Amino acid sequence: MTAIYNMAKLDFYTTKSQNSMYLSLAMVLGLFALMGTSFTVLSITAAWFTALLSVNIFTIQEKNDLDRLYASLSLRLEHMVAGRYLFLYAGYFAALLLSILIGGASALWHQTPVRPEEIMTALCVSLLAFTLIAGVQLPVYFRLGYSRAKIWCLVPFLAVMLVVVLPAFSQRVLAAVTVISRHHSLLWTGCLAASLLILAVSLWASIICCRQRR
Amino acid sequence: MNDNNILEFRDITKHFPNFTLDHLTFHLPRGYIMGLIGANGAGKTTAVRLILNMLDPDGGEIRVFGLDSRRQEKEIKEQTGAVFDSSFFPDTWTVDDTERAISPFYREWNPQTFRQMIRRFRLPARTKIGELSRGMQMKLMLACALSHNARLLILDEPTSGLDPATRDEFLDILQEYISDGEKSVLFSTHITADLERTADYITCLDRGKLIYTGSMEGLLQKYYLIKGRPDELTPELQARLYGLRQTPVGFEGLIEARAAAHYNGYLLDPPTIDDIIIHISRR
Repeated sequence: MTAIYNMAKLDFYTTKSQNSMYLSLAMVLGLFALMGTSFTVLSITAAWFTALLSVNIFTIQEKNDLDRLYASLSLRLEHMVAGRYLFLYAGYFAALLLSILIGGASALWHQTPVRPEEIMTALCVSLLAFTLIAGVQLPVYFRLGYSRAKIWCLVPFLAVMLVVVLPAFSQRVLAAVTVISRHHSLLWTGCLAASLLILAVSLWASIICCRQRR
Repeated sequence: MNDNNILEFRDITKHFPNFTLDHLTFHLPRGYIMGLIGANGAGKTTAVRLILNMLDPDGGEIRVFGLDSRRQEKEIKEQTGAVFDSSFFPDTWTVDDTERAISPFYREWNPQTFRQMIRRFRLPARTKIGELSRGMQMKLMLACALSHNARLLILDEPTSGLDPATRDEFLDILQEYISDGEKSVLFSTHITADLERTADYITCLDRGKLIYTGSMEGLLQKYYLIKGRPDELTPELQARLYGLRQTPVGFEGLIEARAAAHYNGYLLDPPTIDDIIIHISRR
């Protein structure tokens, strides 16, 4: 665990000059909150934005040829990959917390009640969205590197965007979403279980992809 | 495995579409500097990457400190330092950032040693690495490599692009490093003058094949530069030459010492390492 944490810390130092981009997220979330946007949309925005920023570490890795640095450290490949995941998820949870805080502040401002079920739904759906995007992206980045992967890694973004906007265009889908969202426990459990499964498969795939680059 | 060897390559093979590192076998004893030489594309960097597990071999094994380089990677890298031809740190880091980011990976990281090296090299603590000169970037990599009690230093063309004074300082540090007789250095370089000054052993590669591995003296005694008039170039002699160079007034080539015994009437000069690399690569 220490090696994984150290790798996450190394990634944090690597990207620290770009962490100010989270201010952009705060501005976007603030704007959405002023418009009365729901917790769910705020948290999915945080997930989407963080997934978009996850490319930064791979860009810097490629630009500075950091593979040599990682190879020179007392660090196993599996820990390097897991540390990368830890770093990206830490960034996501920080963004998620920001979205919840801004959403809460907005609810206070608009004097609307804050329902715990709504926050829980927002967290679970957001986690699933982030895990879906990052889960597909990360093995591709590990396998191909930033330059060759950047086009392919747009696919999960588009897929999640499609899933989010589809209810607006299809009554059937909207009805299904409405039914599912009424069964809170089922929804939360399903989202968490799916996220964990996708994360496990993605982590395994990333390790395989990293080995194949050798 | 000889306990006296810090590094062993045993029949290592690595295939690429246009290149093969072919059954490479050599060893580096404890307490010595080995130069890894060869023309561009000979396989030097491939060999370095194989040691660091940046590549997996298709055959053979590599042992470092008697340990399997693939199964015991973490233990090996606790005691190994690496310096490359260009900085492998993010441009935005400072010296202080480097220590904070790197030191947790090593049980035996010595902050006093690191600070001493930084002071000795006069590296500014808060300047971004991207703004440092090439020589300073190399010194920072070296400071990191020397600050965790590494017993093996792997250097992949660390002195290329450096001025003579910095190169001289670097070579002095290498000599200090091995002075206790317990540490070794694998030094891959094109700058053979550096090896002539520091290397005890040489491994010479050409197009993925091992040409020579052994002592520096052995390499220099293995060949002669043979020169003569055009009419003295017999077909039999030509078949024995590496990198034959012909002009209207004469010829020159590299010949193995045991074959040179048959040609005492010709001009035979001891070669430099450069002569050997140039002629071997032209064969």
